[in-house]
Amino acid sequence: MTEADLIIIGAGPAGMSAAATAARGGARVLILDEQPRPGGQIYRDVGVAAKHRPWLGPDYAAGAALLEALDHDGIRIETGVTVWRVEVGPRVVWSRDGVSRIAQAPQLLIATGAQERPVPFPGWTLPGVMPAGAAQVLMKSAGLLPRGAVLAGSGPLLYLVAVQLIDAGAPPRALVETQRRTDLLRAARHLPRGLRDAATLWKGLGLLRRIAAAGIPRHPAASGFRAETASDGGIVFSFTSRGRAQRIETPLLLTHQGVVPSTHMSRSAGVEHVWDHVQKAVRPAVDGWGAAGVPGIHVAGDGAGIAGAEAARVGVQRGAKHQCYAEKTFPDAEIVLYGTQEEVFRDLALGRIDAQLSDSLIAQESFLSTEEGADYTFLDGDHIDVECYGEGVGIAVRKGDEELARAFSDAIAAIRENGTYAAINDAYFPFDIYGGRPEGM
Amino acid sequence: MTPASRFLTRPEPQTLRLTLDGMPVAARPGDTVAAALLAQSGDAFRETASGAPRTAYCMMGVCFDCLVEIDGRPNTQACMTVVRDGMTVRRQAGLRPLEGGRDD
Ligand SMILES: Cc1cc2nc3c(=O)[nH]c(=O)nc-3n(C[C@H](O)[C@H](O)[C@H](O)COP(=O)(O)OP(=O)(O)OC[C@H]3O[C@@H](n4cnc5c(N)ncnc54)[C@H](O)[C@@H]3O)c2cc1C
Ligand code: FES
Repeated sequence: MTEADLIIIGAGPAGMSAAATAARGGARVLILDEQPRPGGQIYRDVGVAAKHRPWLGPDYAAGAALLEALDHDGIRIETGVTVWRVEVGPRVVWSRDGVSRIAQAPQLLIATGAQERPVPFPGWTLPGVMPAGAAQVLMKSAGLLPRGAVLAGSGPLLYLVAVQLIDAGAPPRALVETQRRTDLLRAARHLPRGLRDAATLWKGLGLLRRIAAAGIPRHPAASGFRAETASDGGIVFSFTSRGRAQRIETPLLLTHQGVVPSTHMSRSAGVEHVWDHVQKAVRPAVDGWGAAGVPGIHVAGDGAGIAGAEAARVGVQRGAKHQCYAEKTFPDAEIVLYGTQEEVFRDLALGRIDAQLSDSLIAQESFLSTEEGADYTFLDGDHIDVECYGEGVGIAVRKGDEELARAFSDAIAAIRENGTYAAINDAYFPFDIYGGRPEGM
Repeated sequence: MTPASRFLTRPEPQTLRLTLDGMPVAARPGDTVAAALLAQSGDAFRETASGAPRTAYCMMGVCFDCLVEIDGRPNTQACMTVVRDGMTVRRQAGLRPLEGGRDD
């Protein structure tokens, strides 16, 4: 039997930070992880891979500091061990190479993280179909880069993997997205903690810009996934995007629909679990300190529930039409009001808000085209809402002068049609300044 | 026909040798068995009891789709086992009894 003051299951960021903090406070810590090396999912193999695989990005390399903090006299780390039972005591039963051992301590921290939500559809178990996170594991720990992969599903990890593949010189063949673009903002508050911290929403949008710059085709609002094996062993992937049937061949189809807490250990420990409506996942019922209602047992990290308490923060100028629209369109977001538009842009650059809503032209001229705005981009196309924004702008003519009004309308229609408008537009704006039309107009 | 690997050939040297059903497979120190097999070919690792082909799926020890026989021990998770030089790996077809060995 191994003795310690605190046993931690899981050497991801949550477990590693807890171990370092407890050891600095004088506790003897035993940390157990089933992977061959510490790091958890996000910082998998950071100790060996960060130097050799720069395309994993600076956020990944940042994990090395966490790893170094484990080098402390009070910390014993055992890797390659699977904990398969937690009993009252608390006692944990673990095994390595077929030999089982028991460890006991007054305190146990379960930090077993998250796993990818399985994405079932016809053909999802075929060789050649795997979760995007699994491909990321292969990239991080084995330097294996998918050949012409197709990424399908939704969520920020999908875009992160796409950009890592682009940077590594193995760009994906296509991105097939089950979400609409505006869903991204609503999804922001449901990101895994690590992703929220490491890549805020706007950085996520920086990812989208990189994907566009690499010329990767994107198929939005996709559904009806189906995978079949091609004669060469590849995957024929069919789906519907914007109502049109599509078919892409690829050696490797990578799917992703977010992550869910790993609850095996907390369930084994007899902790109560609840259904989280926001996360659409089962998670252990813990208080603000991670206490799980069972003596000596705490849960931390993604295993305790993936939603951060924070909502996405969207900045708008007070009283303007955009406040009306933001409150109506983003009921889940925290709307932050400002006296002037300059303050909105300043706080966006400082990372105090995740997104902002203003006229496209103002966003372009006063922010996106400046140095501060270099990492930012438009989230979506036109936002049309008669109640908040009215019917749009128009040209005023003398009452009753139908002929002149028609002449203007026809002329505008004609230059829209023959490309003259687009040519002038493109000379000045990186977006369509014409805008959309309200429903039925 | 064996499908080609679904991954690009790695520039790093692959200095270790294992066998898969008697055929040589090269691996890099630190690879898991699953990574080495995926780098080699796009083929299935095993067949389920009903004959469906399966390969490593989650790569993190959760799904058990990567089960192979390693050095005579059946039902071993290829994604959780680090390669050693001279390892003998066999694909599994159908069920394996719990105590080891083969029942087919
Ligand atoms: C496949 C995948 C890829 C991801 N990639 C990214 C990314 O690139 N960037 C990003 O910001 N976020 C990423 N995320 C989200 C990321 O998981 C979290 O933000 C972060 O890793 C959570 O840290 P954690 O310490 O809670 O858990 P984890 O980092 O998941 O660590 C849990 C650890 O517990 C160990 N463990 C689990 N069960 C047992 C057991 N029974 N016995 C022994 N050990 C056990 C695991 O081996 C693991 O090392 C990813 C998630 C997944 C599932
Ligand atoms: S691939 Fe899922 S357990 Fe090995």
